[in-house]
Amino acid sequence: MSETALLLVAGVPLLLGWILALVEVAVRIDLSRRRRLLWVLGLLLLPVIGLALYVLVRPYSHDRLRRLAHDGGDMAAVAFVDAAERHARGELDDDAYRVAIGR
Amino acid sequence: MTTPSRKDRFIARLVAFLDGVLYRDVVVHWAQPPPPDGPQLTVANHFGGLSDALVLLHVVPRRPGIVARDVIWRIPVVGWFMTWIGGIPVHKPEDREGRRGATSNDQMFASCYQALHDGGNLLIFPEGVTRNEPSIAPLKTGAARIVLGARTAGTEGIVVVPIGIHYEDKAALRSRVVVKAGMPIDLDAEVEAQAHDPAAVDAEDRDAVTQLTALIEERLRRAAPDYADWDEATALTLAADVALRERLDEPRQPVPIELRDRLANALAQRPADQKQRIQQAADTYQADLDGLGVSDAGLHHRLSTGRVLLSLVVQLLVGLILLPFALMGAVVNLIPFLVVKTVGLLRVAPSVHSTIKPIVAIVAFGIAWGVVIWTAGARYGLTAAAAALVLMPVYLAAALALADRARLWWRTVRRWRAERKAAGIEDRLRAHRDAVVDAVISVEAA
Repeated sequence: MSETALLLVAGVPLLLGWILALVEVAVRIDLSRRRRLLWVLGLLLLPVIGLALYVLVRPYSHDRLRRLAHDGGDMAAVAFVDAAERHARGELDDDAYRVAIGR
Repeated sequence: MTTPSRKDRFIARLVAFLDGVLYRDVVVHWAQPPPPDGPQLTVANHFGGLSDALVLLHVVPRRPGIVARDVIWRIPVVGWFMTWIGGIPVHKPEDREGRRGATSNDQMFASCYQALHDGGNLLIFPEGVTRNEPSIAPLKTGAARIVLGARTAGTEGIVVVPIGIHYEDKAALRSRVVVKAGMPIDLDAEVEAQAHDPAAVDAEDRDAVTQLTALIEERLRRAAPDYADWDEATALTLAADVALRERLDEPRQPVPIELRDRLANALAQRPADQKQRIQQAADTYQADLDGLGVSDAGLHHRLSTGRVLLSLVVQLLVGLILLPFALMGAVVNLIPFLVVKTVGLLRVAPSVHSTIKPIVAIVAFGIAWGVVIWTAGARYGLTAAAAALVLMPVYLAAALALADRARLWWRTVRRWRAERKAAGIEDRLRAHRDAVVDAVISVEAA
């Protein structure tokens, strides 16, 4: 593989990852100032090894999971499903169900 | 909020990676936010074998200790994994030849009581076995006995959280999963409300155990898929999808599968004659769709030739950017990916597929990546090994993203072609589709 190709397929993602890691360390509020400084120094002095270590130990955030809440969106669909569930549980009789789904 | 340990974080990352390889999308829906701390028993349906555990380890914010049959500890790799994540073995009479010949569950109960006393989160699959049917089996009493016993041992504030796992196709590689948490049960409040003498309720109280088991089962049925058989599940899911598409704010988007499954579950509770009418209408419409080789979503909105071309250009541009990284990913991961794909061809039950596949994925990808990282380190030194460690997941993600884009583009082309074919039978299709919607919203006897 030529140097240019290697630079593209290995260098670009490593550089991007290194920049993202530095930014993330700088803004992390769960780390003490001393630990943040140590990570920044590690990433600056040993960029690739520091990045690999950081990738292994950085926290995993469950906020990254896609959540389905439907707050404020698809209200007609949510109301329809709610009515169908309440009808299935016997909380709505047939007439109330028809009203709820706009029939 | 309990701070996760380094091991918790590492396990969360590991299972997130595995789920990222095995599934195209994992989404969660919480009826109420999960308790940030305090003793919790998570109960879930068990359609997917080991996959269920991996999905839940990924999505449940506080890593649960898994209570599972001791036979699992005998499976290579899985046994080691279960010990490492702190699983608690249950000995069943039918597994008498079990681990270390143990048959008593005293140790299991003691471990569970201690975990709950320490404010931990336990995960149990209260049906006791992995199921191939799309329904909830009558629950065993273990979950109720664990929490009532822990309460008697002095642990207060236990919350039981029911979780339903909905697989788009549990045997398929790169399908979608929805995890839906139902309404939690406040154990103390429940015992206060149900028992004449709350202080006397314990794990040996048959009435209390039966009552609590019934309540857990009811909440779990509401959260999890619960159909008579796969034919019913398929038909009601299509019917719910079709009926909901009419009511979306933005009908061009796919129907959220969380809403679709909730509606399909509600339809499954309709009287038999209504269900039959829905099923017949859905089967007829499905036959039309199969004949055209397209989904309902594909027919609902017209695709112009210009739109197809624009989509092609956009996908091509994104593909070109991803291509060099995806090629690297394909070279490094092709063999382990093919090994996992080959496992999908085995003629075994879907639940067995969903257990074997994660194990094979762990071993195959682990070996392939290990070889690459070790080779890089041996030839070029520690920095090269570190670079390989960072780049392996990047290349894999690029390869998967490119494959998903190609699939998306192929589906767009198929939609466009099917629409042209459908032009001649539009009236019949419309009538069959309307019949599905009508059967879903109608509650009159057939």
